[in-house]
Amino acid sequence: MNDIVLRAEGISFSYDKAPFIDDLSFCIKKGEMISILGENGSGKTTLMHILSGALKPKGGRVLFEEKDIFGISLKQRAKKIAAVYQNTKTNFPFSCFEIVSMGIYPHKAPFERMNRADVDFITKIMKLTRTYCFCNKKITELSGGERQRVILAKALVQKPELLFLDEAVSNLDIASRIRFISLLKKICEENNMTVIMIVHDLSSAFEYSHKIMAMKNGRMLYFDESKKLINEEFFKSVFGVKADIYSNDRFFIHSIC
Amino acid sequence: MFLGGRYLDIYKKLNEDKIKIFFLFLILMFFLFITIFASLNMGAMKISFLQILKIVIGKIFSKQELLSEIKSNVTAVVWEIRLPRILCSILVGAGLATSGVIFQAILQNPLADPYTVGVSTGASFGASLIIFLNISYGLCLPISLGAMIFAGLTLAAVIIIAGRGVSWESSDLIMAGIIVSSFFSSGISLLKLLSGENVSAIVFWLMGSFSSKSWKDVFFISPMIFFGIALTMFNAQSLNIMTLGDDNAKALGVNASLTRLICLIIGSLLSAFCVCVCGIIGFVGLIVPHLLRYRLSADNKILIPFSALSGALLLCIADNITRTLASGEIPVGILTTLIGGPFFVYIFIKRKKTGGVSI
Repeated sequence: MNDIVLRAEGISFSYDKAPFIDDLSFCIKKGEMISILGENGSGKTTLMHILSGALKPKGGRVLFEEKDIFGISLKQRAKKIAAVYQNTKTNFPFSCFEIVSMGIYPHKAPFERMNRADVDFITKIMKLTRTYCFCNKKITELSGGERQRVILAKALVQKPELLFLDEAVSNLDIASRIRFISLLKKICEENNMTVIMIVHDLSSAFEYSHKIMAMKNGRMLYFDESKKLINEEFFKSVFGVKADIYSNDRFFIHSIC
Repeated sequence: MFLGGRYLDIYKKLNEDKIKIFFLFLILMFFLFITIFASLNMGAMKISFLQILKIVIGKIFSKQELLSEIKSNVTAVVWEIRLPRILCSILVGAGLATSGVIFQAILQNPLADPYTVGVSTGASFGASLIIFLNISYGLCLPISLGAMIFAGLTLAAVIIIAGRGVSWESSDLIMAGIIVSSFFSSGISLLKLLSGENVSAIVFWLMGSFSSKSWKDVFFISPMIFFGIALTMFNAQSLNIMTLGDDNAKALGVNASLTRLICLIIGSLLSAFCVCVCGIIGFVGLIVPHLLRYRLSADNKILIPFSALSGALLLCIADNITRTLASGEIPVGILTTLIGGPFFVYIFIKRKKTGGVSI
């Protein structure tokens, strides 16, 4: 029982009268890397907002380490859960170092200053995420993908046990994306961090995540180990596309059904 | 691969930066004191620095022997006329600049200013209403009372309109501000129309001036200004984090909606108190935080004290110019906008040319 980090119990949500997400239940184990897949508007982001405690479900409960996530104060929650949402924009010329070091904030008392260990840790994370070269640059001067890498570095500085990424790697170039996701996988394995991410890039989702959750019209179609889901039926029912499956668990998507 | 050599020790560099910033603050502080003394020297009556020094020290430490050798009318000019006016301009400058920082931060817009949310328009309407009533019915109501009441009403209206939904979005606040502000602007126009040939009283008050400010005004605004700046400093780190957007702020443990509401109230009160004392003074609250953010630091912990100090310095100097250069006194609000407008266009164009992100 101890290794379950997040448990959804019959969560439902609606934006107007018609239920959008209806009665979802599942558990997520510690150290797992989970990709949520689905069409646009299938409820992925809404589900992620509910799971990360940003949005209150209309029914059901979300339990983080067996405690109701809404019973934990924002600051306590931020010590253990980090989230990066799509399209982080900022109008103010903070330096990238300042942005990344905001990740240390939940671990500090008000007005407590950063000590040498904090700065060293931030530097280490910036080097790992290859954002160290932006250190003194203003966040407003970076390109979209570079800015996103800085925000991702900030989330890692939070030392989360559970990390949510809502299409946060979508606008990285392919090499940066693979580099970042494999870095995440390494942290997952070494530090028992759990990652739940929404991605549109199917190849990196299947390559790196332990489990895949597929959503359609607010319902969960699949939630299983990624290896087991590589079949024609999966691509057809989730995305409505035709895929060729090759013997070594590789696939190639070529047309609409 | 990593530019290791250039930032060998970030921790050391951060500490060095802190010391630099601290010294810069001291230098500005020193400049402010110099400006106060220089300002006391300016004016129609020629008073020497030595006399000024004697009067100020004599008054502060109540040493009668220093004051006895100076004519009482000289003492009165320095202590009762010039000093309160100078202190008022400093306090209002600090208040407006701090309020500007707050509004730019909570509205996530580097072009916001203390008047964006419309509370100051409400305060102006209140003041105009009192002036109108005083003139029309021969009453003697205090102008600041009307300004404060209407500032409060406006703030409540903005909060009710913008806070309808679950959260406090910055676009909702701007929208509510525009609605309320235009409503009260029309109200002011109506009052001007109704007051007929006495319209100049309202017009002059609205133009923003520090003429005939007394110690009473200094004591009226100083608690709010100091309290407001202190409270803003308390929220500085949360304001920093809110720059990443409400969702990200929440993920970092900052309740963005609550912080926005608290800071909205502080910023509105600061600007309302300033409007109460001296009417509308444009551009200080916009330009000072905006410039410092790009030149010095975007970090609100640094930006707030520096904006307050620079705003104080700027408005004090601007008031001196209006007081001494023009033969008849022009309201300082006109001067700040006359100089501030073109200056703002200049930095705006310059930033576009240098290829930086424009605003």
